[in-house]
Amino acid sequence: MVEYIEVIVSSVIGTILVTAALLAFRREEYAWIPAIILLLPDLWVNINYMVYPILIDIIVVGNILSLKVLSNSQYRGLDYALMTIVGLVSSYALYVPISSSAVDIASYFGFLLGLFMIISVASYFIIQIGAKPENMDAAIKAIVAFVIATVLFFTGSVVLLSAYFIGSSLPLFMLGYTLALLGVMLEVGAAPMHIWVPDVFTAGDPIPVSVLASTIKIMPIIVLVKLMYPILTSLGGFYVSYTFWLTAVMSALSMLIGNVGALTSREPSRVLAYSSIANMGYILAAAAALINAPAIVPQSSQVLTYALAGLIMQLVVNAAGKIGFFTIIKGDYKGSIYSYLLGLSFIGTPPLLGFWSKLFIIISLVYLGPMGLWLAVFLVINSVISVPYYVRLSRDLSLKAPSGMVLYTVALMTAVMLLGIIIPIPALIVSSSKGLLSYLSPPP
Amino acid sequence: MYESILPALIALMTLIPILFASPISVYWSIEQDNRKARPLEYLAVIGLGVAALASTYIAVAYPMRAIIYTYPWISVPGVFTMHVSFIVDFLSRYMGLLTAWLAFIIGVYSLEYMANDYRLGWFWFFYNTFAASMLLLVYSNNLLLMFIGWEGLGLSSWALIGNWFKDDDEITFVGKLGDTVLGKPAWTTPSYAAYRAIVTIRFGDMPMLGALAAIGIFGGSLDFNMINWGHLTSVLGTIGTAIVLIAFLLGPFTKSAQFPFNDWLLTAMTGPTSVSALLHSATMVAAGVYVFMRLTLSLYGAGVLTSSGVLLTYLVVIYVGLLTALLGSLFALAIDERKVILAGSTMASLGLMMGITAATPYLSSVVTIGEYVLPAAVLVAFLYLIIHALSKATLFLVSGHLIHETGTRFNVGDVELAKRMKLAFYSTIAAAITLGGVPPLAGYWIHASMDELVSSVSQTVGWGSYTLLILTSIAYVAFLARFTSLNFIKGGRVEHKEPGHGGLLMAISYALTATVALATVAVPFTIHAPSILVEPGYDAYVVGIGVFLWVIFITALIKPRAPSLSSLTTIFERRYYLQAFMDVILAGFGRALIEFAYLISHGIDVLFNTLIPSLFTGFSRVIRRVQVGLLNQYIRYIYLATVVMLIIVLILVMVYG
Amino acid sequence: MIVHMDPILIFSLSLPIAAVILTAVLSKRASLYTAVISFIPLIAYSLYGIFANLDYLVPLGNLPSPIGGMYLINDGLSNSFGFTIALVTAMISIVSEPYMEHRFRALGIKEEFNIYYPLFILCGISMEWIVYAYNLLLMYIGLEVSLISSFLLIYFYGYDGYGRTRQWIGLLYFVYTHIASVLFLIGAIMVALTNGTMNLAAIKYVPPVAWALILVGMLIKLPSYGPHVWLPWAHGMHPTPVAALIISVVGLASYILARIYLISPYFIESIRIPLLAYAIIGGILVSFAVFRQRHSYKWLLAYSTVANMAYLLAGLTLGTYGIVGLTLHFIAHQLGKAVLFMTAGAIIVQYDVLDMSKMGGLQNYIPSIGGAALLGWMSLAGIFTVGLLGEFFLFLGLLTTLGFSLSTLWAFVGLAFLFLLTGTYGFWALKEVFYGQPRWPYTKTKPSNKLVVPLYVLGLTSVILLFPPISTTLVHSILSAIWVITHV
Repeated sequence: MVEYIEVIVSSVIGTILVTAALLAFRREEYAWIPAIILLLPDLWVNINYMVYPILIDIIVVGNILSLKVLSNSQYRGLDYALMTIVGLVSSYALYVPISSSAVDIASYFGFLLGLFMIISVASYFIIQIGAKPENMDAAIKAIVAFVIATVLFFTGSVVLLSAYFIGSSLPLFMLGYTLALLGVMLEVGAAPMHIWVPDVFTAGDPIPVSVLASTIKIMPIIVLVKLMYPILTSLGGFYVSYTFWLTAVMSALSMLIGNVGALTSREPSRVLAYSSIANMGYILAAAAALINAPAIVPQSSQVLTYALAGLIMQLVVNAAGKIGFFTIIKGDYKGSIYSYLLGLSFIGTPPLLGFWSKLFIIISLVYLGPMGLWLAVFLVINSVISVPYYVRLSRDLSLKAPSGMVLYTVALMTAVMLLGIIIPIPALIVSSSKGLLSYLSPPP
Repeated sequence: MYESILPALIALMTLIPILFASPISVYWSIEQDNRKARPLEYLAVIGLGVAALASTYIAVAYPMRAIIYTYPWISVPGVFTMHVSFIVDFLSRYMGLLTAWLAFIIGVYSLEYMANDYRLGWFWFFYNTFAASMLLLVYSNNLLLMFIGWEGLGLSSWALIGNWFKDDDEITFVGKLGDTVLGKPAWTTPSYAAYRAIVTIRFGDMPMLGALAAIGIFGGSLDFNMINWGHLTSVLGTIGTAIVLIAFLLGPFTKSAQFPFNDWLLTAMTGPTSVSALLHSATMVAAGVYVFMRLTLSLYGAGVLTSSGVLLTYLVVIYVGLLTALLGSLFALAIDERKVILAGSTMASLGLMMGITAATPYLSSVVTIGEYVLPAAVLVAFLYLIIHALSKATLFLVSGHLIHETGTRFNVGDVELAKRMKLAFYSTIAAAITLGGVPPLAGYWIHASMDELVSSVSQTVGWGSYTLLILTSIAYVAFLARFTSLNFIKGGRVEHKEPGHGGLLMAISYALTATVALATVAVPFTIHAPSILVEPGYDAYVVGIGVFLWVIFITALIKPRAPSLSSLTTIFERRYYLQAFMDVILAGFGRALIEFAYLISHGIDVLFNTLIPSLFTGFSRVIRRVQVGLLNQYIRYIYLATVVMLIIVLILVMVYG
Repeated sequence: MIVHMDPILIFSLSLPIAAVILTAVLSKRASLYTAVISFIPLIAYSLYGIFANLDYLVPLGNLPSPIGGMYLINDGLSNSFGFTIALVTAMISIVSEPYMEHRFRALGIKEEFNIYYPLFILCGISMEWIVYAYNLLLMYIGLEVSLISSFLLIYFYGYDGYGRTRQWIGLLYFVYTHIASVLFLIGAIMVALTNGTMNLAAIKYVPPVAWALILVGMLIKLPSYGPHVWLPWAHGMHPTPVAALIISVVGLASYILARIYLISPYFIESIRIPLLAYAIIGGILVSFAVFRQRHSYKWLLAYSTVANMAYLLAGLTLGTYGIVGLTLHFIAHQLGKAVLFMTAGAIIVQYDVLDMSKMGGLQNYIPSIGGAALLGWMSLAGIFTVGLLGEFFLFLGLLTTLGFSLSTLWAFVGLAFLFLLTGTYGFWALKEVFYGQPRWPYTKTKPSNKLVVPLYVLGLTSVILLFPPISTTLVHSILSAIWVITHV
């Protein structure tokens, strides 16, 4: 397992070197090729759960392709490399070999914070790609939000860890968890910390925004899960009922505000912003089930399997949909049938991938018993509220058939959604999620 | 052998008429040319002829015993098995004969009567379906199979009453155009009359279907000869049995136009006259009575006629029947439309048949014919059904011809007309005296038997029944004479525009039925049951009544327009305000319910489809209001959110810490 | 229950899916033929299944717990529903051609048969999958796919009216039925978690909360009285052939409930009386409201659908024979109502009129359509058609479950009254539309044969199904299917 980090690190270094070479020879327009190739070493994992890095790689490839649509990037070449690095660390995040022993927690704690930092910093650059003066306002808002988010998360995590080591200091623990959660929520844009999202999504250039809305969201969630899971599993009791309810209520709030907010929004980017808020709600619901399950139900492996599968798939669905939609927006609203397929997947229409992700989250919540059932019902109600605006969005974005790089990007993202039709794939994700559980500690 | 060829014969009687009528209906939906359609019309009538021959074969060649054909249809394990089952017994062999031949003769009549119609395809298809459904009903031994024929009758009668669907010809209406009651039109157009008919009929049919289910479950079978009535009555008790039987009889009540379900029959006169002739003689209305007779036989065979639930039901039927008879004949005395008079007369006759049949449980006398055993009351009612069918068909066919000749549906005609239409006059007189119950024709002997039967049961069921019967008899003969007089003697001069055209086929048809009606005088004497059918006619008291009826008949012939009884006449003319009741009160109640149901529906619609969505829209606007676009505001907001969270933590710590 | 490979069934169920893809690229005429031909194997095979009284499970594959084994079921119940839907889909796809030509013209867009036909077939075949599926998840997928495809059809080609756009109406339809489906989904998941599988053959018990969620969801979808308000919009404003097809989308809710009822009947039995009373009272109220829909022939038909769904709901509460009655009435209603909707469609194509106060006397101008409408109402009212058997079995169910006494007389009377009202408004509507004096200056026209012949095929099927031998085998195979499920 430990060798795996060497694969990632050498791949990252390779990317940097190759890109530097291309830049030196003023051949930066070809930098996307090594960027994609050097992404692939992250598939060097056990075949049982290879589907996880594969999905992340597809998303990153989608990002890279969509960046090619952007003609005025001031970081031409570097932006592809940046995506590759973000992709590599994101797929690595889940494999960080943390366990519940105090030493492990302490030693990998810093490492996870570092990963969080990488993403945060990367996003500062990404939001500025291709920015025109009128986009700068949005970039500033985003960067401010990310800075505050990082501060909140760091502070919270440190307080939490201290509380854990000091032992039985409930107020400290609650404070730490609250701050860390708020930090993550601000980073990914979940209500009520969503305030920056609608403005940034609307005012920013669609392509960098699509990156913010997709790949960047993966890591903070996984770090949250990885950090909290061992601590909460060993603490249990009132700690868990607090963390569960806090996360669940935030998740419900996020779903509601996102979906209702999108109802009356007219501008596609703004609709997508609220949709993103709602999606973070679904993901937080899965996270709530995941980090608290062992302390709530005795036989938690089913909950964990489905919660993790749902969490990963929902992240992928959200990312694929956002990349697809924003690329269509960039390409003058030409989405034809693709926009409908993306929209239907977001609605959760079987057998598209968006259906399976919600299904798995719902299954995990129902497994939790009455504590999770209400959230499952709430999630379902929300998915119904979302129907009108997704349909409207699909229609608004379906003027004509896309072409060129827009077409390739959108088609790739639609293909991700269509994976759900091949029944073995959702099944594969569930079984690989079982395998991935061994990276959570203590393993169920 | 007889059993095995029975289904083939039934197929000849039911499928062939429908199949032979199909070409004209297909042709008519493609092209409408009366002249070219002529051969296809003949084909349709040939189909009826085949049915008539098949029925004759059954009536003549089959031995005088019950012959039953059975083939499994639908099996409901553990409850019962339904069969496709046909029966030939006394009732069905003669009812079938009557139906098939009348349908054929009236079909021949229609060839001329309907020659220039605008809807031949429809007419012939449903005319033949009408006859076929009746034949299916007549020969069915299974209640559900019978019910299929029963529904076919209802559907076909609806189709034929509304045959002239365009509502554009005053001559097809019932009631005086422009006349109103309580602000509603008192006249009826064909399409509306058809609607009233089917709605009334289905009002009875649905409880009847439910009763079939009950009989199937508690009686263990739906085949007339297999129903375990004893089990049914013992399981359900008096009230339960009565409810099942009443639910069942609601079908015959509505179809046979018993009071208060009679009004559809009178407005049904909007149909072509040949339809009225068939509908009022051997199909439709007779079906109700026929099924009641069959039910009575089935109950009789199971020996439960005298159980309390059955007795209760039959008591109700006696009074409903006889009351209907009186009301029908009184009404026929006051009305001024040819066909509607006859409709009233039919209603009266149906009431008599029902009432008499219902007397069965109170009588013990039984007649044996061949191997058939029939309760006396059923036999008398059945014979009355036959002479009524023949006479009534005649009268209707004559009226149809008269409408063609005089160009009006109201009573008009003088001796001159009678001279010009000798056959029509002859047929009317023949039918009137046969049906009227004056000696010495068939009606007299039947009426005498009825007198005898009712007077012997009236000690048990009350003298009201006998009074009703006598009053009916008097009114009945009076309106028949009135009908004859107003159309041929004292009805005034006919202002006919052109000399009569053809009419030979029509005249032959009704002359034939009239002659057969006269000939039925032989029937009471050929059936060897003198104590029931012949002897009552020699009773001095009954002879006295007979003579008295002659007096009434002659008086009414001479003086057809009785002095107005003012308000009473109005009530009769208004058909006891039943139409007004249905069109104003019942329909008004319905409209109120409709509005009520609509308001609830609309309320839910507004709530869920307008109010709640707009609530969400408002909420959405509120959520989006925080997006002011200013960074400093946002930072303040994030700060605020964090502080609120921390306060919550603080409170929780204080509560649980 | 016997497990048996059945490639013919799988082939029959897959062929229309291939047709979905084909019709996206074929020409209009070729698409029409493809649509019809692709459903013929299913029509033939389901009919064969009824006659041969097939009864077994067909394995498709396995998913991890709690989804479990994927099976199709080939028994009397599924074949009865499957036959009806396949026949209706095939026939209505013929009618679709002239109708949609008119619709595209009216919308002012070029002909989009390569969008219309794939969605139409998809809707039809997904309903077939609901019928044959014996796994809750497969059923759910069928529910959603049929919903989406019919939703898109209304969204693209529906009618605007009564102050609403077709997009609004489409969304209304989508939201209501989506709520229904996801409630079903949560219920299904709870079932799956208690039984460890969604495979209906292995499920033995449906917990009360799950039952309640599924019931409520399916009541919205059915739609029963109360949540029925979406159906008039959807039915009234759909392109008419689609409206004719989605009768099954709604009616299948009762099929799903019946399937679950057969596995775990305790829940329905415990609320039998209130549910029956609700069905009857709601049905009667809606039947009255039908008379109020004179403003649109299609709205009237939609309200009548709601009233007929009350039969199905009543059937659900009435035990074994109630289920038989439910099935038979579903068949009668689907056939009859498809015919009726297409008569409304023909009137639209010929005269562009929907308002019944402008109709009247149409029998004179389009007699062939008038005849078809009569067949349709006969099928609904149970005159001379399989509907008669449906009503009879509902009565049988009522009397076997509740018995016959004064205290249950209300149900008997109510049911009879409900049946009566169907005929009453049916013949009233016939009169208003086809008979009497025309209230609009019509001229005589001749509808295309494609608008006429399929209607007679459907109407006469309903007549033929009443008579032996087909009614014998039909009832027998339904009863034996029920027997097999309740006795394993």
